[in-house]
Amino acid sequence: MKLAASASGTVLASTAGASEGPPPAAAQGVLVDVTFCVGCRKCELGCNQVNDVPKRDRLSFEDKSVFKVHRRPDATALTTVNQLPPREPGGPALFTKVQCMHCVKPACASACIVGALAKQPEGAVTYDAWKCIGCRYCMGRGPRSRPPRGTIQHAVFKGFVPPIALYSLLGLIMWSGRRERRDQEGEAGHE
Amino acid sequence: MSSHAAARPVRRPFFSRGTMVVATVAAIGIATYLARMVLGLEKVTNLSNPYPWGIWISIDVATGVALAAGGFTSSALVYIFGHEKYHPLIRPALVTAMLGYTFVVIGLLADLGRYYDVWHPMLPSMWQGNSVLFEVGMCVMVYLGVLYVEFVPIAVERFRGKVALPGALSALNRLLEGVLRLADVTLHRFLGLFIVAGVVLSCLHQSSLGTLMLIAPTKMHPLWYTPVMPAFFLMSAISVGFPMIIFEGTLATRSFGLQSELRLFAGLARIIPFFLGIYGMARVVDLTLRQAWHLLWPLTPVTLSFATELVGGIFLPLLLFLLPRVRKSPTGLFVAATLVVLGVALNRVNVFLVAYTPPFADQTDFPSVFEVLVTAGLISTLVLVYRGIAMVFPIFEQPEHGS
Ligand code: SF4
Ligand code: SF4
Repeated sequence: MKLAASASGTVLASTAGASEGPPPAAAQGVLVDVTFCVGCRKCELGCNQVNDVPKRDRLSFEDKSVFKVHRRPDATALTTVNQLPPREPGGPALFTKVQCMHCVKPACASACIVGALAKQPEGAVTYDAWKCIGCRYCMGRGPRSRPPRGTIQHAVFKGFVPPIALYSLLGLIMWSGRRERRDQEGEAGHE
Repeated sequence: MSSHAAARPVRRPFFSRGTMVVATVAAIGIATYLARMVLGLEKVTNLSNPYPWGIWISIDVATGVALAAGGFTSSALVYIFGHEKYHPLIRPALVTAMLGYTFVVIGLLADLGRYYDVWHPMLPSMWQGNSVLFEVGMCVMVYLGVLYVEFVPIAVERFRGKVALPGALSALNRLLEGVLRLADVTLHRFLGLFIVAGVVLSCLHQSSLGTLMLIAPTKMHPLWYTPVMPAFFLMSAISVGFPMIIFEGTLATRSFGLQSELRLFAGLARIIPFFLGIYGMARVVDLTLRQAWHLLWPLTPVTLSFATELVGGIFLPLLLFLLPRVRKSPTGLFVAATLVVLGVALNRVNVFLVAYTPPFADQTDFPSVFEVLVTAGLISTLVLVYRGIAMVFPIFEQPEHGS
């Protein structure tokens, strides 16, 4: 379970450098257990609906042919689900989603020349498009190459809403205070 | 300031055959530049999410700043270390630095996705003191101002008492004359301060340009990635300062048909090995301490680029500058200096482009033809403006006109 969580790279995952040090006390978090992920792309749909990105038809998210290529998040899709090769031949397909990890110590925010990227007390790393000058120093630096800014792409994170939790099948994505979640996950890790 | 009393505007026709070629490249580049400003980055460049920075950052900005190092190294040599005999080299180096930084800013504007917001970092409400880029930006801005101030005495020398704008603009004559007079009487008291500030600011941002990539350890090739990158950037900037003066001085004197400053160049050439040697040694020690030599093998374009930078850009010219025969020959000096200049340029391109490998790249980054056109156009425009300035202002020392 621990391993799965880090592979998914969400807030709880401890990717080197991304989450060193304690998170803010009030930080919220999303736990993703990718061992349950069936590649339904509902998280992509939720992401598309609440974020300031070009809206896409609901049905387009049913399309499984997108798994043919590995997709990275960009300005039109802040969350992408990818299919990975099975662990052993003939085994079940593996899926995992990619999105901004809202790092505890965000490299992107420390890079930004004007403070357009900022760590909020609730844990979100937000982007203030008005401040951004489009230098793209943030893009090359963060571990996840968060969707870029400037005229190449405009990706706007408006606060921290975890809509994906609403859409999730099987309850594999859960939303709660980050501290509690980590305690629970710690127990799960001992099972 | 009698020592450069002999500096005068170059008297030559502005256009020669060479200038026409340069002007054509410049015109195409400017048109492309304007197209980029209207159409946006996506249409004009090959920049992408995995590769956000291309040659506009690595050549126009990083290399531009490095090659403008002749300005602060020469003023340190003359004003701080008191080697007065090199004074004739100060003005050409100053003009190179001033134009170099001006074009760094112009090039940077092309690269900024929202160039119209470039003033944002100046607002205290948007200062972000953790950002290396913020430090670089501020330093470059202030230093550019300092360079223009250092240029003012040259403008005063040329135009004081001679302001005569034609036609409707003549109303401004008295005002301009007053400004020049004011600058003349006040500036020399503070000029020393500006000169020292210029040297300090240069050291600051030359090194912090090397800090820019420190934040991306996982994306940089380990041959280049080292925690002492900022020191390398500073050392290489100092080592390229004098070679750059020899390089552009040789080109300018040949193009203008002036007498070459061979005696002074030869003097500089005795100092260069000292800095270049320290830089080269530091690179070797770094590779040894990090046990990174084996990464050179197997040879790929990337490792070859590293080897070229090290051998062709540092050790070969170092050897050349150590040979008295090379130091006595204008061609020898020019070749050795050019090697250093190209070596440092290659180093900047290597660090910002070649060494950069994002973990999720689905395509490689190769500059689009438009990116190349803009870069070539900016360099050409710089050359033309340099030529123009040398013809209007007293930059180069030369005997009485008519000889
Ligand atoms: S592109 Fe915008 S958000 Fe990113 S570092 Fe530059 S100013 Fe900040
Ligand atoms: S965009 Fe910033 S906060 Fe998000 S994963 Fe990248 S570095 Fe971390």
